[in-house]
Amino acid sequence: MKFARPILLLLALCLGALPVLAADPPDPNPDQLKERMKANLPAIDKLKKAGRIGENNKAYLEAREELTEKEKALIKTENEDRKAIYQLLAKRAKTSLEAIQKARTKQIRERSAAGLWLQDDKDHWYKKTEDPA
Amino acid sequence: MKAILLLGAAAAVWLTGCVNVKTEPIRVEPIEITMNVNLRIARELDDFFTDLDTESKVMEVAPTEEP
Repeated sequence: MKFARPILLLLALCLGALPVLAADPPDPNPDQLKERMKANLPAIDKLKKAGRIGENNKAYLEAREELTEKEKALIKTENEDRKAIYQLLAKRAKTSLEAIQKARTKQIRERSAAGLWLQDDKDHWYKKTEDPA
Repeated sequence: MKAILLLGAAAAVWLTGCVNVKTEPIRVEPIEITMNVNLRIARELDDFFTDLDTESKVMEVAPTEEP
């Protein structure tokens, strides 16, 4: 009986925490993600231009040759940020993550400069050529 | 003659009773839905990525047309 009150109190706290635990995690802040992506952009551009990384067919960055640990960490961070933003945009557009990735892949292929590594839908890597005038 | 008229009137009433007005449910074309989703996706992607892609040295963003 001595412990009945603390146990009941603990039980009440646990029950009270259930809805919080069951709720969806909060959406990431798109402004913060964009700021970080902007900060990482020069280094990513440099790696892309050097042909060391490319854009795969899921709208993520992928190594095309051996990278340093620092470079690997940069790509990992960028891809995590991209995933978070794709998930957020899918939720906003009321569509699937795959649909967002597919549309972004198309956009990346269109916007990428010539000479960059891209991956086609059949997983084949190619370097973008100049658009015919 | 009277019987024929009566028979004709009865037939007319009977046939009118058979007129059936059927209202088709409104169908929303799947093409339209797909277009709307694609437009929403394009808008969301443009809103977020156009800034970043414009700032990138290895991406070229085509200027958007004014409506």
